[in-house]
Order: sequence, then C-alpha cells, then structure tokens
Amino acid sequence: MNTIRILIWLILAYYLLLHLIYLVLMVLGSLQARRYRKGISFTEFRRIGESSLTMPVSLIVPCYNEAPIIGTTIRNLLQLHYPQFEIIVVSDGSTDGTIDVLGESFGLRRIERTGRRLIPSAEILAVHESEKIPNLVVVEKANGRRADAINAGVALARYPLLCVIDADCLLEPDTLIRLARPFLRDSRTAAVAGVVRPSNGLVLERGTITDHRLPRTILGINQEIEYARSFQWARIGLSRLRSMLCISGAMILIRKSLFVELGGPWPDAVTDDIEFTMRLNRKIHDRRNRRNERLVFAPDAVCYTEVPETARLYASQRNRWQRGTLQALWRNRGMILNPRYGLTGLFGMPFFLIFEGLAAVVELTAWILMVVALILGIATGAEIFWMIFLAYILGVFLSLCAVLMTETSLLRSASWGDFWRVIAALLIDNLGIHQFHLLCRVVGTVQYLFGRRDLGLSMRRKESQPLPA
Amino acid sequence: MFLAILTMHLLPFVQVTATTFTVLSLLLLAGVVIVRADYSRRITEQTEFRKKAIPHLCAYLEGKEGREAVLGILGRKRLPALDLLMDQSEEMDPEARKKLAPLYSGLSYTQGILRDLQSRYWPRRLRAAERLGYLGEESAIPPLMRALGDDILDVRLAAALSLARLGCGGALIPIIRSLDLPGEISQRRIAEILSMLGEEAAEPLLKVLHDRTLGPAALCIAIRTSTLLKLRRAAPAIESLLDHTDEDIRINAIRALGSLGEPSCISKITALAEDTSWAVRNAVMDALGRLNDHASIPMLTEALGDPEWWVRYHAGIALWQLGDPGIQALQKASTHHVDAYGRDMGRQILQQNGILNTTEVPA
Repeated sequence: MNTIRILIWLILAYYLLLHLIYLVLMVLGSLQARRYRKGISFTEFRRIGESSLTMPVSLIVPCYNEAPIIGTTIRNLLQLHYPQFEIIVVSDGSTDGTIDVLGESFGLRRIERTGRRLIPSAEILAVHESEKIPNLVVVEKANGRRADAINAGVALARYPLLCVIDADCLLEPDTLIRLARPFLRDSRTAAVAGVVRPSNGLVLERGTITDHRLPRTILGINQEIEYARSFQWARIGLSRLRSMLCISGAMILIRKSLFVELGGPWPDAVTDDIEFTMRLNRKIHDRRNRRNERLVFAPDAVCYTEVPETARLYASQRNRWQRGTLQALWRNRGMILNPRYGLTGLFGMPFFLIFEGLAAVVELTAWILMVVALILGIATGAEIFWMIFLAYILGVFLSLCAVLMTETSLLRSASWGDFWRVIAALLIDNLGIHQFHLLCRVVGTVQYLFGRRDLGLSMRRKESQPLPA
Repeated sequence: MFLAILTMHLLPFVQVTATTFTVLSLLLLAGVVIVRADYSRRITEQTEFRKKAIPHLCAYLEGKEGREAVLGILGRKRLPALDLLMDQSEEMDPEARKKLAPLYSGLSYTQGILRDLQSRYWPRRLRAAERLGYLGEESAIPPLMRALGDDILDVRLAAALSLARLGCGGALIPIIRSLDLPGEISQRRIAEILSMLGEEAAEPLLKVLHDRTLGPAALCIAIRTSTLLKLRRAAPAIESLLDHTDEDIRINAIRALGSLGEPSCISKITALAEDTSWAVRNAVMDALGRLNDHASIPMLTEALGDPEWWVRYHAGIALWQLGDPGIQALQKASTHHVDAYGRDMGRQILQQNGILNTTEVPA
C-alpha cells in the first residue's frame, strides 16, 4: 500500500517539476524574446532586404499529393521580401496531378539539369523550370519520404543557405529576412528556427495573408495554445540553454554546407525533423568537434502550418510524433547525460527523454495508480478529485502564461472575440482533449516498441484551407 | 524522513497547491485581460495618431502647410512622432530629408536622446545612437564618435551608421578602428555603411590605405569601401598592398583592382599568379578576366592546368571573357594543353557556352 502511495507522490512531484521547468523555460523564453526585440535597430530589416550582402536562399518545398494547395503555397513564397532566393518544389512521386497543377499555374517546361547529388536520394525523374517565374524549379522524383525529397532538392540548390518548408506552410512576407538576420550578425550561426503557428484560420488573398483568424474547431484552437506554449515560448528558452532538440520541419534555415555534411535528414525516420535536429545538436555541440556554432531561434519569424482538426488525423499525427520522438532519442541515446555535449547532453536530452518521450507513460501510470488507489482504499475520492484538479489547474496556469506572453508580442490574437475563444479553449483543454492526446501518445509508444515505423495518415487537403479572401 | 513524507496523506498538500494555483490563475487571467486592453488602447492611439499626422506631414513636405501647424500635431505624441519622422525619412532621398530637420529641432529631441546615449541599458543606447543619425544635427557628431567606443557591437554599428548618415567623413578612420572585425560578412557590412559617405570618404580612405599601423581587417574594410565607391584614385594605394603578407588583404586588393578596371596594375596582379595560396591565384584569374588584358592569355592558358579546380575554372572563364582570342586559346587548350585537367577545363568552358561540339573532340 505504501508503495502505491509513494508512487503517487513521485508522480505528483514529476508533475510539479514538469510544470515548473516549463514555466521557467517560458519565462526565460519571454525574456529572451524581449531582449531580441530590443536589440533590433530601426532600419535593420529594411537594410537586410536591400543589402547586396544578404545571403541568397534556396527554399526547398517537399510535397506529396499536395495538388489542392501547392499553388497557394508557391504564390505565398513568391511574396517574400528577400533580395535573392529560388524555390525548389520537389514532388515526391505525387499521384494526384501536382505537376499538372503546377504546369497550369506557372507554365513549366522540362530542362536538362541534374545538379550535384550531394546526398543520396531516390531517382530524379525530371526537372522543370517555370516560364513565368525565373526562380522556380520543380523536381519530379520517385516516391521516397519527405526527407528523401528534401535531399533530392538539395542537389539543385544553388545558394549557401537552405530553407526547408513544408508544402502546407505559409510565411509572412518578412519571415525570410528575420530568419536570415542571425546569419548576418554572427558567423557562428549554424541554423535558425522560427515560430510555427496553425494556419487553419488564416485568410489569404493571392498568396498574401490578409487576416489572422483562429481555427474554427476546438481542437484547432487547442493546438493554437499548444503551439504557443511548447513550440514558441518554451523553445526560445530551450534555445538559450542550448537544448533546442526539435526544430519543426515546417521551417528551418540552415547553412547548406552543414546540411550536406550531416547527410541531410534520415529518410527512414518517422519524424525526420526531430531526428535531424538531434543529429545537428550532436554535431555542433560535441566538444571534440570544436565547432563553436549555435542554433538560433528567431521569435519573430513566423510560419503557419495546417493542423489537423479531426480526431482521426490528430490521433495519427500525435501517434507519429510520439514514435518519432522515441526513435530519435534511441538513435541519439549516446548524448543523454554525456558531458561531452555540455548543456545539451546534461539538460536538454534528459529533459526531452523524461518530459517528452516518457511523459505519456508516466501520465498513464498516474491514472492507473489513482484508480488502483481508489479501489484499494489507499486514497479517498476527495484526494483523487484534488489530484485531478491540481493537474487541471497547473495546465490552465501554464497556458495562461503562454497567452500572456503572446499578448505582449506581435503575435497577439486579432480580436477580443478570438481572445475569449482562446481562453475558453484552454479552460476545457484538460477536460478531454488532453486525455485523448495522452491516449494517442501511449498507443504510439506501444506501437513503437512493437516496431511500427510508418508515417500514418497524411492530411487530406481541401482547397478551402486556408480560407480564401 | 523522506519516506515519512512520501507516506503521509496527500490531501492537505494537494489542496493547498491547487488552491494556490487557482488563485494565481485567476489573477493571471485578470492580468492578461488588462495587458491586452492596454496594448489594444496603445495600438489604437498610435494608429489614430498616424492617420491624423501623415496628411499634415505630407502637406508640410509639399510646402502647403507651415512648420508650426505640423509641430502642433506631432507635439501631442513626441515619441510616436519621432518614429513617424524616421519612417518618412527612410522613404526620402538624402537631399529631401533636410526638410525634416526643422521638425526634429522643433520637437527638441536632442537632449533626451543624448541622455539615452549615456544609459546603462544597452538597447536604450542602441536606440539613441540610431535616432541621432536622423536628427541631422552636427552637435550629434561628438557623442556619436564617443559611442564608437561602446562595449556593445550593435551600438557601435548604429553609431557608425548615424555618422555615415550625417555625412561625417572625418568619422571614417574612427569607425574603421572601432569596427575592424574579422570575417567577410562583418567587413562587407561595415564597408556598406562607409560607402554611404560617398565622396566624403575618399581622402580618409586614402589615408587608411597608406597607414601600415592598421590591422588586416581595417585594411580589408578600406579596400572594400574603395571598391564600392569605385574610387579609382585609390588604385595606387591598393596596388601597394598586393605584396602584403596577409592573404585576405592580397585577395581583396586583387578583387578591388579587377573591379576598378585599373590596367596599370595588370603586371603586378599577374605576378601573383604563382602565389602559394590557391585563393589568391583564383582571385588573380577572376581579376584578369575583368581587366580584359589580351597579354594575359598565355598565363591564363597555363593556369587551366592549375592543381586547384577553382583556379582552373576561373582561368577558363577569364579566357572566355576576353572574346575571340581567348576562345581560340580555349579551343586550342581543349585539345593540346599539356595537362589533362587543362584540356578538360577548356572543353567544359566551351561546352558551357555552346561553342564546341564535344563529340568531335578526341577524349
């Protein structure tokens, strides 16, 4: 009986510690973002946008069966304010007529260009260039995975910086300038990540974002808060502690030489972005390599990505993320608690393992223990109720902190109506959605242990997402 | 003791913690609402202010409205007005910007900004250093010169930019001394700022190029700035740096002379074709192509067999740039060069430019 009680106490301590660390990370992230904002001079972005020394960027857009949205994505990328960039769309064996759609919209013609195959990838079947847009190249290749498509795109990239963007992503016009800023300021910059937010409620006009509305469903709004909490504020804090071990695949700007040196993302990874980020950290933070490079988070470089709004797609995505996290942790287990990697090894990796990789299992254990304790009479109903309420209120508190930080930044909600919808969503998050998320992750953990490595369901695109004006 | 704590009843601890966080959450929610309301109010006020002020400012710049009338509007919100004026200034050419000077002086920003420049808080010093550049007042120059000694690089850069904006040619040498940073990007960034000085920079630049006490980074910045300004007067001084012991200086000097198109330097540049550094040899090939010197053809042809790919490539490109005589040399090299790599590079360059039918060339 005492054992169960001790376990409940340990889990309670785990919960409190998790929330405390997240709170510290968010406060650290907020301070870091504030310092970042204060350090930007009045004409800085204008100068970067006009300067001849701004490094040109190759934007790589891997896509698989994205015919309904790829045109919108490219039109959005063409609106970027940046002195010199090229867009390389890699169709990864699409079967839905993606190439035809691109041909109709941008007037493609086939060219003889192969580039240098710096990283192995599946066969490139054809390369097309646009008759209308001089900096648009479309690559048609045999089906691999997202990582394989990116690696194929690198062969045709001509510029020293690579920006990998998902096909469902939309960028603000100044996103690339903001991402490139760290490279111009500090030659030690290896890669830059930015803020990722849900795109589901955006309103577009000819590829330009004209209104920032919230997603329509509770699940969508819930992810808006989750992205703000975990992918934004906590991640800035983690980057300060050299522990940013997951840069979203939705958007990353990286030096091409380093990308090639790392061999690109691993095509067999369940989540190639997490695995790649860990390997990137491993490379640059290994003291033996004496690289003195850094990963930077640009808190004002915003990328919008489509989030799942149906339970089925959401479950599939979270299941995949969980399996991908465990796979990446296992592949890079040598970094955990290894002083050779400095803070990354001593804090970042254990944090990621205990509070990300194993969080679902711990939480499920907590639920089981509570039920057992109740049945065996070790804990009273009141104790169980208060435990659940504590977990609920800690989540609400953390989400409110994220909302506070967001409201003091440029990413604040567009209207009072949206603001109150966010508050309502965070209040009901822990009354079902969080538990569903937990279930998806537990299933993902079990399936990972049983060897499941596929990518699950892909998002079913609708032409109406994001909303046209 | 630890075990005793673990086995004690949960309820009191959980109740206290949960209640505390409930109260904190309610306070936080109230705080978020207040912060949002305040933020919204400020943004609305600023938007309204801009809506009102911009037509008056435009009318003033067109000469349809007097200074006092505009000052009356702008004076209601001095800091947003300063941002507005700086925004406006960025859209105007340097001559037209002078029209804004009476507005800056009328709103008496200088003293406040100079105080900010002494602040212990570096973002405030940064803001002050960049704002001073817009005021167009000569009195800002001495404090900006002092700011070039700031510990924070961003403040030094902002001060340099402001001095350049004020057209202070005398600041060139102090700027170079305070920002002689290693690394190509840093140097190009500073050269870009200094080039804003235009003709004002010429004499100080010549002094820098002759000053052998300065470090390699400072000399590289001076060479780059001369190139950006197309300062042909600087060519003799740059030429004298071709035999400098520092590799970066030699490379920058060669590139600069190639860009400036100074034919008198060709022999000295050609002499560096035997340099031990491949990057220097590469710069030589590139420069000779730009200088359009037909006498270099034998040397460029020989360089097609250089051990380094980039040197061979740029030698080939240089020959191509020389027109018919260079193309003939490439055609000859593609079949008769003593070095197999030289023959291959000749073929590659011709093929790249659609001159040669490669099937007719023996392997």
